[in-house]
Amino acid sequence: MSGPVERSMAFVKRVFREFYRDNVGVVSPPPRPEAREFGYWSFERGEMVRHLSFRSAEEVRAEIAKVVPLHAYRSAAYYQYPSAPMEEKGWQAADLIFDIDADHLDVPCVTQHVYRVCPVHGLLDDGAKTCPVCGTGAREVDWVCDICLSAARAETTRLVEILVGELGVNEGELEVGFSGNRGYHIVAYSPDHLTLDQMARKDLVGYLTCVGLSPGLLGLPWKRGGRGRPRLDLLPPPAFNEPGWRGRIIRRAYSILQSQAVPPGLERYAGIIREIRDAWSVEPDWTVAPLGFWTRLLDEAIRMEALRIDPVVTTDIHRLLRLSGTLNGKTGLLAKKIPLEMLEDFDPLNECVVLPREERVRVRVAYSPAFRLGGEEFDEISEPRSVMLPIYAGVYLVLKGLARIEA
Amino acid sequence: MSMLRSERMLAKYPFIAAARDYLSRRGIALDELGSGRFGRDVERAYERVVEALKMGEDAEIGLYPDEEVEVLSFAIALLFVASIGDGWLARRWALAESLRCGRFLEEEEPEIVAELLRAELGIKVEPSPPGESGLGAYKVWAPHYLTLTSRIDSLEWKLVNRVVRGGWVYVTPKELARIAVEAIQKRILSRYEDARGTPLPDSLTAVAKRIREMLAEKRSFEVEAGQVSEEYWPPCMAKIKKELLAGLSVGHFANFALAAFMLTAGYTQEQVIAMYSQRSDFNEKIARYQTEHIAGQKGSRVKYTPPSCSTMKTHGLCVEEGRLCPGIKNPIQYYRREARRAAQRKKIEGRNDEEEKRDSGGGFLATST
Repeated sequence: MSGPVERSMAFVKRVFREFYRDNVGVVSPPPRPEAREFGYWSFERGEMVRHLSFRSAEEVRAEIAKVVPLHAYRSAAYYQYPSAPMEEKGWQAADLIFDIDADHLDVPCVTQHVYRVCPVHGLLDDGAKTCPVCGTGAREVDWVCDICLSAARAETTRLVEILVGELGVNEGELEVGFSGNRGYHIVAYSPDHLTLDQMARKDLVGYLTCVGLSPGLLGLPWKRGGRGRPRLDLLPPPAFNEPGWRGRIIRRAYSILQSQAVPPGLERYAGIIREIRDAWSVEPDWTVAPLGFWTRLLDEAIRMEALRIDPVVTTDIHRLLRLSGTLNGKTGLLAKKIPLEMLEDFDPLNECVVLPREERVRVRVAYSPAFRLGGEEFDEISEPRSVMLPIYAGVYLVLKGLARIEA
Repeated sequence: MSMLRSERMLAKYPFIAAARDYLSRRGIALDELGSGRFGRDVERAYERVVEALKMGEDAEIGLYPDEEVEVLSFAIALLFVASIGDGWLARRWALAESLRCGRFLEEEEPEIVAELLRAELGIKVEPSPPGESGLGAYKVWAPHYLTLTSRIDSLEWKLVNRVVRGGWVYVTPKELARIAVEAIQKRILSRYEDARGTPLPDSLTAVAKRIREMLAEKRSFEVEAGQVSEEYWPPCMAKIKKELLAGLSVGHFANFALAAFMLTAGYTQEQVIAMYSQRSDFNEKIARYQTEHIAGQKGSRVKYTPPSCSTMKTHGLCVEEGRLCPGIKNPIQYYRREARRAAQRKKIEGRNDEEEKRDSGGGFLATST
C-alpha cells in the first residue's frame, strides 16, 4: 500500500501526464538533438537515467510524453555517440551555458526563505532537526519570492548585455529561459564559442565574475604592496561612459560615493567623504583622495559589480541542462524560453504557470507562507489544515514538500 | 597571402599551407627520403627533433641557410615525431618549433603577423580603427583570444584585465606575436595528430630509432609518475595530476600546490619531479631546485604546506566549489581524513576476518589486525 507521499506524487504525475498529452509541442529540444545526450529523473525511481539519445526533436517529445519525467535534461555538449559511456562519447562542442540562481545573489530575503517543517505538524523552529511532537526528521524547504526572482532576472539582463556588447555573442544566438524554480538559464549557440575548451571557459567565467581582476592593469588605483606606490596623477582619469569593466567599476564607485551612508570599510574617511563627493560631481579625479581610500572603494565596487553566475556550470563542458519546455519537478512550473525583448517584464510566477487553474484539489498543508502564483494571492497557512487549491498551486506546495494530496 | 609566399617566409614558417604546396610541387615521394639526395634534409630534421627533445623551451633550432632544406626538414621532422607517436615528445617539439617561429615573428612587420594569423591559422584579427589604436594596435576576436591565451599563466593575459569591446580584445603588436606562437603550437600539434602513426620508410627507421632511444633515456621519469598512487587524494589535486599526465599545460600556482601537497603527504621528491616531467617544457634541474625549495631544503628553509581551499578557489583550482569535500579547509586535511578512515576500515575488516577465523575454528594465527 502506498503512503501519503506516494499518493501525492502519483497525483502530480497524473497532472504532468495530462499536461504533456495536450501540450507536448511546448517541449523544446535544442538544436541538433541527434548529437545530444538526454537524461531524466523519473517519479518512481529516485535516480537519474542518463546517456539517452534520440534521432529528432519529435522523438524527444514522444519520449517525454510517454515517460512523464519529474525532471528532464539535455546535454550542453554535442557528441559523436551521445549514448555511449562518457569517455567514448566523442565530444565535439558544447553550447556556452550560464546558470543564475536566486540564492547565489546577495539579496537579503534569501536567508529568510528556508523553512523547516514537519510534514504532519507544520512549521518548526529555526535549526530544529526533528519534530518535537512526533520525532520525524525536519524537512528543509527553500522558498522564492518576487524580490529574489527579480534580482535573478536583473542579473540575467546584465549578463546578456555583456555577452552581446563585449564577448561577441549575437542576440539571435542567445536563448534565455526561466528554470522553472528560482533562476534563469542562458545559452549561447554562437559557433565561435561552441568549441571553447574548459580552460577558455574558465577565463570567460573569470571575466564575468571578476576573478583575477587586477585594478592596476585596468588603469585604476591599486595598492602595489610595500614600496613603490603608484602615483595617482599618472592614472587615466575616471570617465563614466567607458565601456567594459573599467566603466562599470567607476560608475559603481561613483554611485557608492553618492549614496548617503558612508560605505562599509570606509568609516575612517567619513570626514573627507563629502569633499570627495563634491569633487567627483564637478570633475572626477583620483588625486582628491589617498590611495587607501580608492583601493577600498574599488574593492567594494568590484564586489558589487561582479556577476553572480554559477562558475561550475559554465566551465563544465559535459553538463546536463534542464530541457526547455518541460515541467520542473520542484514546482510544477514550466521551464520556459523567454524572447529577449520580453525579459525585462517577464513574470515567472505568472507566465510559467501552465497546470490547470480552474480545477481544484484538496490538500493538507503543513505550513505555507503567503505567496502569489498564477495571478492569485494565497494567505499564509500557519497551522496544518486542509484546503482546496487550484491544481497548479496544490502541485506547487506538494512539490515544495509543504502539502499532501488528501484522499 | 602573397607576402607569405617567398621561400624565405616558408623557411621561417614551414607549417604554413604554402610550404606543403611547395613540397608537393617538387613531387618528393616518401620512400625517396632515405636516399643520399636528401641527406642534409634528414640530418637537419633529426637536429630539429633532438634539439627540442634535449632543450625544451630553451631549444635553439635557428634558421638553416638553405631554404629548401629548412622547409623539407620540418616535414621530415614531423614525420619522425608522428611515427614515434609519443605525446610528450610531440608537445615538446611543437613548443620548440613554435618558439622558434616566435623569435622570427618579433622581427616582422606586425601586418605580417596579423596576416599569418588570419590566412594560415584561422584567427580573426583586425587593425584597430584610428580612434582606438591607443587601446592596442590590433584587436583579436574574443573567442579566439580565449582559446589561444587561456593557458598563459599570467594576470595580464586574463580577459578580465583586458580592454574588451564589441567582441574584440585589444592587443599590442608584441602581444599579437605571442598569440601567434600559441596558435602555431596548436597548429603543429594538430598536424601531428593528423599524421600520427604514419609508418616511416625503411630508410629512415635507423634515425628514428636513435631519437627513440634518446627519448627513453629522457623519459625514465614517466613510469614513476604513472605509479604515483592517488589514493585518498582530494579532487583538486587528482585533477592537477590528471592534467599533467594528459600533457595539458598546468599553471605555476597549480604546480606549486601539487608539489606542496605531495611533499606534505609524504611523497618523495623524486615522485614530485616525476610529475613535473610530464610538462613539455620540463627541465630537470629547475624542477629539482623548485621541489627542494618547496620541501624547505633550499632558500628560505620554509617547508611549504599546500594552499588552503579558499586560495585554491581564488586560483580557480577548486573542483565543484568544494561540494565534494564538505568541512575541508585544506586539501591535505582531505588526504589525512581519507587515509585515517581507510585505516579504520581496514582495522574493522581485520577484526571481522579474525572473528570469522575463530568462528570457523581455523587454527591459523592472525598475522595482522
